[in-house]
Amino acid sequence: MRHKHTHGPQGHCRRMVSAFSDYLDKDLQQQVCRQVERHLKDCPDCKLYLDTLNKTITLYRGLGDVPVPKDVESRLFATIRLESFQRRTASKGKPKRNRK
Amino acid sequence: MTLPSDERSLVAAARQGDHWAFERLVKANQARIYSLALRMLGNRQDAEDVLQETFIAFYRSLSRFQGRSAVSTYLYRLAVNFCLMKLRYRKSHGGTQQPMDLAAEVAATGPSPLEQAERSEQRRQLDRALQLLPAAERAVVVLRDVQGLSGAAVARVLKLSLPAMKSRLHRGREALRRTVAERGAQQGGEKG
Repeated sequence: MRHKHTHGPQGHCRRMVSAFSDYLDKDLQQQVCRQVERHLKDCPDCKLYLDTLNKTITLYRGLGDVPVPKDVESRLFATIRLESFQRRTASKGKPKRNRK
Repeated sequence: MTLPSDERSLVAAARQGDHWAFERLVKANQARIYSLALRMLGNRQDAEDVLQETFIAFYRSLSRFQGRSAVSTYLYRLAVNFCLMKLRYRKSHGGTQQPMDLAAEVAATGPSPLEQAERSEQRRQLDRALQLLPAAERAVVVLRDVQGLSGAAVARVLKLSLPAMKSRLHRGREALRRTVAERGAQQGGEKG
């Protein structure tokens, strides 16, 4: 049977679509996974939906880390050194306890 | 999960006041925290604030850090909380978000200029789409799909149940999928 998503996924398709995220993460029970795969064979709209979801996730996975700019890194280390210095100074300034 | 042995020894040394060991921990984690903050907040100044706040908070909590989770997981948790605080502050003070030029930062390191330009434009679009998500969904998507954490790790960082995390991930991915598909259709129309 061929389904058509004229107003977004409805009914059975809607239930299938809600499982796609887990399906792509390979995080579905085997039985549900088989149901999804059977449905995909019959429903080109859901197949297209799944393909665009997969493409989207792949694009985001490819973004990667943004390197920390040198000036930002320098200020970060300066802040940490200042914090460390303040801690050392504060601990030296503390009155020593008298030991009995 | 326990700490890998090299992380454990660095944390132990840093706790004893070894500055070099702490800097090693910072260097190993700074890019992931900066990236997370940039993608959560959408501008460089706020991301830098969160980067500093996160590592200072980590430094101050070294004596309490028990190593039950990896340092990166602990740092992600701190950073996400600082980001959410900033976003709440922004919302309550009616602040508008600065336009993000994350792509320009990434372009500083990369291949040919043409390839860089194409990638920059694509990155810009992907980052803009992220900024449109509600903060709770954005945090899940950034941690899971951009930073590459497992679902279980994302749930731990955000202190969510696994089903709650999955539900936010599904909603976030769906919204991004729609934006990417619409953008693709627009570009197809422009070319055709």
